[in-house]
Amino acid sequence: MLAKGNIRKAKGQMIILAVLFLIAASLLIMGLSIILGFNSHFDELVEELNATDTNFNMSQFLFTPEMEELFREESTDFEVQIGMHLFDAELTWNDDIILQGAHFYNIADSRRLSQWKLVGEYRPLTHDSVYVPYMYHFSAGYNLGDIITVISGGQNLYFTVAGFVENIWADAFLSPRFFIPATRFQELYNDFPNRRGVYIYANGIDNVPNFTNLLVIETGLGDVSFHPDLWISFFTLDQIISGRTGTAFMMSILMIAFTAVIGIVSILVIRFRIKNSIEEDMTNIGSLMSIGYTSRQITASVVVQYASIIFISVVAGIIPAVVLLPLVGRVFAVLSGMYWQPSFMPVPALITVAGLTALVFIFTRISARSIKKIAPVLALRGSATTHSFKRNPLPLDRSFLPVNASLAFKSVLQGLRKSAMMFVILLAVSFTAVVALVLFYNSAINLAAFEQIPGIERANSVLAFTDNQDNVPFQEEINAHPDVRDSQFTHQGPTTVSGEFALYMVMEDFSRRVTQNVFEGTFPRYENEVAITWLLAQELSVEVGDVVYIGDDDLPFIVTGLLSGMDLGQFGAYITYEAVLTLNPNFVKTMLFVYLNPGVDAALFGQEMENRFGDYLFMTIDADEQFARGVAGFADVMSLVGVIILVISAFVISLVLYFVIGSTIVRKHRDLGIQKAIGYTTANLMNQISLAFSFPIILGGAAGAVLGALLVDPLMSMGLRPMGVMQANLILNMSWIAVTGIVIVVLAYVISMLVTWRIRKISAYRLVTE
Amino acid sequence: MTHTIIKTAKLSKTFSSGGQQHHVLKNLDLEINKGDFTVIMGPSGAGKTTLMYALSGMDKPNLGSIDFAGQEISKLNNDRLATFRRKHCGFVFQQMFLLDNLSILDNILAAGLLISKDKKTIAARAKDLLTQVGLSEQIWNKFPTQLSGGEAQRASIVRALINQPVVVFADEPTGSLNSASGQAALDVLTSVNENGQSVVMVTHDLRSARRGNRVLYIKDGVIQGECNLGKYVTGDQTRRDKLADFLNDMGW
Repeated sequence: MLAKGNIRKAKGQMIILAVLFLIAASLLIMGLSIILGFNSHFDELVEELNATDTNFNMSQFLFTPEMEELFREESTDFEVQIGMHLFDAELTWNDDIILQGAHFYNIADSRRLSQWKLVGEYRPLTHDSVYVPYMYHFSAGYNLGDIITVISGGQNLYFTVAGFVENIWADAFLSPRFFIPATRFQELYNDFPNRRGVYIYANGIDNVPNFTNLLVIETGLGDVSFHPDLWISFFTLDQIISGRTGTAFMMSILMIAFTAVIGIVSILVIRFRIKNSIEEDMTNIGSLMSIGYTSRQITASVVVQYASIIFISVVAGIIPAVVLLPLVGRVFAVLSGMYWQPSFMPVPALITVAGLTALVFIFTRISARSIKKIAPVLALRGSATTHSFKRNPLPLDRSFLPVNASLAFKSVLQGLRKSAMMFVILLAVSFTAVVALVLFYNSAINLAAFEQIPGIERANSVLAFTDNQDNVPFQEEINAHPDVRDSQFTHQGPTTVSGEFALYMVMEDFSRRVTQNVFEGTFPRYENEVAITWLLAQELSVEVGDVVYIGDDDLPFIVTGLLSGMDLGQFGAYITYEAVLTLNPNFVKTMLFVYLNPGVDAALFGQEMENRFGDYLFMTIDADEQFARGVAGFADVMSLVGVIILVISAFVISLVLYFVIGSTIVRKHRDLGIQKAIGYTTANLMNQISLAFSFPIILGGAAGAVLGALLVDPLMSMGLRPMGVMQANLILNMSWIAVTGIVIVVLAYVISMLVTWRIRKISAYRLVTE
Repeated sequence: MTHTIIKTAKLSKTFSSGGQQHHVLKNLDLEINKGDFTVIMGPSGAGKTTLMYALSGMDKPNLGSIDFAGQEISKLNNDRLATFRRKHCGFVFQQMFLLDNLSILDNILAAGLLISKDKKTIAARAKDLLTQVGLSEQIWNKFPTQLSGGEAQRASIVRALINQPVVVFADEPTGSLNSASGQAALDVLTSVNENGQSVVMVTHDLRSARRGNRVLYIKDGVIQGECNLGKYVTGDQTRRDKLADFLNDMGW
């Protein structure tokens, strides 16, 4: 009954609290649902499709009976499948034609391990139709009956989409895996003999890198500079899981972190509200005590008041979460290429409802403790206050400020707890806003940092020449092209570093790389120098200055630098051209990174090169387009999350300020009336209150912005560390950050002025005649 | 020669409550003279407080005009009225209404610094006034809750005087004080009036009313009569009788 009365009295403020908790609950339910649902969905899928620990793919030429024997010895269970890998395939993707490469499987080859399944509607396969990865539907908008064109080896192959498949190994950014009927598969098998591949799905291999090393030695690939028909690749299930669910995990962590910010803000606001309401209701509390209510009963009414409202709002928070989850699911489907339709999950909802309500219950009890200390007689007289002024900061006769400013700062200094609360709230919200802004800026405005994060070299075009001739003269010719600003021969291949399987990369001059991914030390410059990935350094327990041994002959190399990023996978090594010649004297320069002038279309350039070099050129890659497609989904999601957090931050600031300033006006009603009576205008009083709030608002806003700017990069780097990214190097556009800080402060000031506008209604006359 | 500082014409004030109109002041024509200690008396609900706050620009009448020191204030908006009050009016309230978060000296300066930026002069004047009303330096930096009722009321009188207002308005200034404190507060008001300060006081306390030189009796929103008591002299029995007769005549 008491609680009901309290709620009715502070209706507006209870609504604001309810809205804050509704937002927090929705975000938390969604965050938890993603963490639990998305990951468990993936786990279920792994189980359902009987996915293996590893998947090795290689040219049919490389797969020997000895190699099969190796699998038999090292693996507990494995299965071999023949497929086609058209790695030079260009595919239609929306309205573009992109180079992606494609794997084709015979639908008739049933797999026991690492199976696939159809999702959604499908039609039976006919000779010209194909089952494509689900992401073709989701990301590119393909529907049943649409035509996909695959251009390979000078042939145009047309397929009609007959269904969409889910397959654990179909990473969103890797070559797609298509399923076609046996007759069509046989045609490809016959037409492209050099593109035949062997796909091995294996379980129970103890040391995958070492085993891969054995396979590489078996293939003899370490001695081959580059041959398009000889290829080998492997993936572990962990890699795929981290690749397909990593971003989703990061997003859900962001959501939960943001919920924590809102939660902290809301708890602070509740604490403030309870303290205020105890002071405002002192006489009522006295009356209740005088008629026999115990302090325990009154405290309980406060607790019930808040806990009941928060419980209702948190339960109501389930509704927006349920409505928004499918939309969030769509976003994550784009990121993971996975068919995931999230639905209401009782566990996250229960955790949220129970957790938030319990939190409010505990904090309300703690905040309402002061009721115990109230003496009924003093409360009835109105002379019991929970706040007694003892200090007189900034005496007016000695203050150098104008009287309104002096009074404002006086109230800041006298109400340090309230100021500290506002400081913390503004700090938390502006910190979040700046983090969101930096993510948005880097994913929607300037993608330079995201280009660097993976550590992959950002050449605009890649030209792969055949190894039948000396390709250096071609480079000279290309360098003379007016659209070209630089070019470098490069190469990647398998090797061993101190016994660990790794990929090496060679460049003529690493200092000319666009992607400067050395985070400690330098790139190699001499033939006995190497820079290795951070994950490899961790594995080998080596630092800059230590010696590692590379290749079959274990040649010693000094580690000059550590690499950040996912270039070359987890274990990678950068070596010089001179070094690769010591490892492989037959090395021939074939792969050329071409750096184009700004604004030059890499696709047109590639076309021109194909026309010019004809058969000398094995293939061209539009690296600009490949990169743009690679980051598009991620960037879209990051910018969306950034915008959502910014909007919610602004909303939360508005609500909190409305709440806190509104409460302050109610509490200072008497003082405002007195000031009006002695001649202060409404504008004077509005400025006093707004100024008093401005102090913690500006400090908190600035501190949050600075903290956000300082921590966003380390936080992002920490999140990406499992992927080997040591430094995100996000671009901090200081003017954007400053503008965000200023907007938050101005927004806060404007809101405080709008809320304080109600002071005009406070009547000095009513105060003195009441 | 008397000099009028406040003059009302057809002053009316109506309140609405529960759909009913209450005519609290009815077409009042009234003049307040400079240097007078004017006392407004009357039974509860007669409209005396409403009249005082209308005269002081704290509240606006529904009809009629109020000329205060040559300025028509009944049509001013709230902020202009606030600015007007800070220069022309000082207020002493029954509940003192000192700001709890400010020291006694700051309470006075908060009013004084509204019209003057000369902190030194205002602070010196505040300290001088505080000393005059018997508040020693030890309590200047105390907070209102640390003072006795009498001390707080004397401090509020100093706040009312700090801007050298044209008129000091006092609303039952002894209402919440004990006898001795009440007398002390009245002594201060009498003293400032003797120095030429105009005072308008609402009271229903006879001892307080005797301090005035002019007593107005209001009933049902109309001034029923007035009594001129002349200059206040302590222990003047004639004055006491004259006021008693007047109030008897008014039906007190």
